[in-house]
Amino acid sequence: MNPWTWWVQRVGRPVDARPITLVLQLVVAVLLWDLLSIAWLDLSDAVLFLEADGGLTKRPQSFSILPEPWGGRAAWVTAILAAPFIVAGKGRKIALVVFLVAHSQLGHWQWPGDRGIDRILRTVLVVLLFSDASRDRPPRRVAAWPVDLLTWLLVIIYLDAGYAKLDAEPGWLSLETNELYTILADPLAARLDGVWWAPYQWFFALGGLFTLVLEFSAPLMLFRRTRAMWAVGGVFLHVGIWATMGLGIFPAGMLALYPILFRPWTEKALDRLGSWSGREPPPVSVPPSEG
Amino acid sequence: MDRPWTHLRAALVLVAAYAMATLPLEVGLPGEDVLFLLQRPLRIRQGWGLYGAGPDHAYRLEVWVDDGLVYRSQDPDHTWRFPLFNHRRTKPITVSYCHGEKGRNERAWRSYVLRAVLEDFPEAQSVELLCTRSPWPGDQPQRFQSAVTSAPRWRWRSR
Repeated sequence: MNPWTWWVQRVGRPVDARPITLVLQLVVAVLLWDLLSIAWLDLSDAVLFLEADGGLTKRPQSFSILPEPWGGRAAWVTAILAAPFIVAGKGRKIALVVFLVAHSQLGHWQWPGDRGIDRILRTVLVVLLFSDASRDRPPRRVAAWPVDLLTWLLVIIYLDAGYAKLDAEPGWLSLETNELYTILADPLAARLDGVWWAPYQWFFALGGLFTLVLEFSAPLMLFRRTRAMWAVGGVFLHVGIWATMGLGIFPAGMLALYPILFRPWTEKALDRLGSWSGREPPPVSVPPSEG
Repeated sequence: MDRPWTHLRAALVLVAAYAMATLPLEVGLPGEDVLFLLQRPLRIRQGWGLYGAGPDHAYRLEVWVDDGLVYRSQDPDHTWRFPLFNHRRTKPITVSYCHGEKGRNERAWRSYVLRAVLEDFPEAQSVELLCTRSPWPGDQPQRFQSAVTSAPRWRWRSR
């Protein structure tokens, strides 16, 4: 078989649509939670208005098409209103386009608060927009390319994060002032007490080693036999980040993508959920060609 | 399998995978400029150098109202308006200010904090935004930079 034929067959092979749809729902739910937190933490004036109207941002970035002074609030409300339609599967494709435009416009508007995790999750939504799994009533099986593309995106993200750590001084394996220690004890961004934890640099060196090994071994996600094993390490990493750092939706946003990495278990869990709720589970055996 | 659509789809997936793999490197590969341009409207530029290193010192923000401390980073006894300084959408401005980077949003941030102080402490006569810096582990904080304002004009002065 020539490489092109192999590639065409690979991206078109059928897989269970439900884990992909679940990732879409989880990602949007996490972003909705983040948007709502702006209101319940009483930050809407700070985040949704520009400096001239009492907000924190001097001016929006050039791709903003929002009118002043209410543009930020309009984009925020629009994204919040669109999100439930995506989660519930009612007019999902249209709602997804609306949500993507509103959320990215909010990013242009309040760009200091639009972080890496926002870009990651919007990238995921762009990919899923074109999948049959994001239809209101997805077919039982859809082409596998979104699974492959999202797995590939995760591999690149973790590899790049690992690469960025190589130049750090004194380094992630240092027993003097370990980089992981300075991140997790940074008073401006994290929760650990730097003084109390200072004698335990070996602990952070081990954590740094774990992080580097995990990030540089991210290509293991590409193989069916090692994918879930790698993902267990990823879960530990993100739960650790959640427990020690105040990074908002970063851990939850990354973990929202993991149902794809745990696909066989996700499918079994959804089967059981379907049986429990009285819905007939679809046939979801993994075809032999899937890698 | 032989329909033209399946081939077009396979080609588009290949382009997307290529973009995800090469754009973070920014090495000037063919088509890079076009792909960057396509990413800008949705703010999905690929580049993931996440958490490469921690800060070189332990920085803390302190907010003083009339010589009384109301907020200090990582201090459970002084947590006034905690989300304003710690929510993921506002924290980058706090961090930028305390690290001494002259960010474009610093003036707006100071004004916002002043308005919040006057809302919660209407009788306040002075406000200071103080950033301290300490070598690790962070138990020798020294004044690093501060901005002070006082009634009745409420104009900020840097110290």
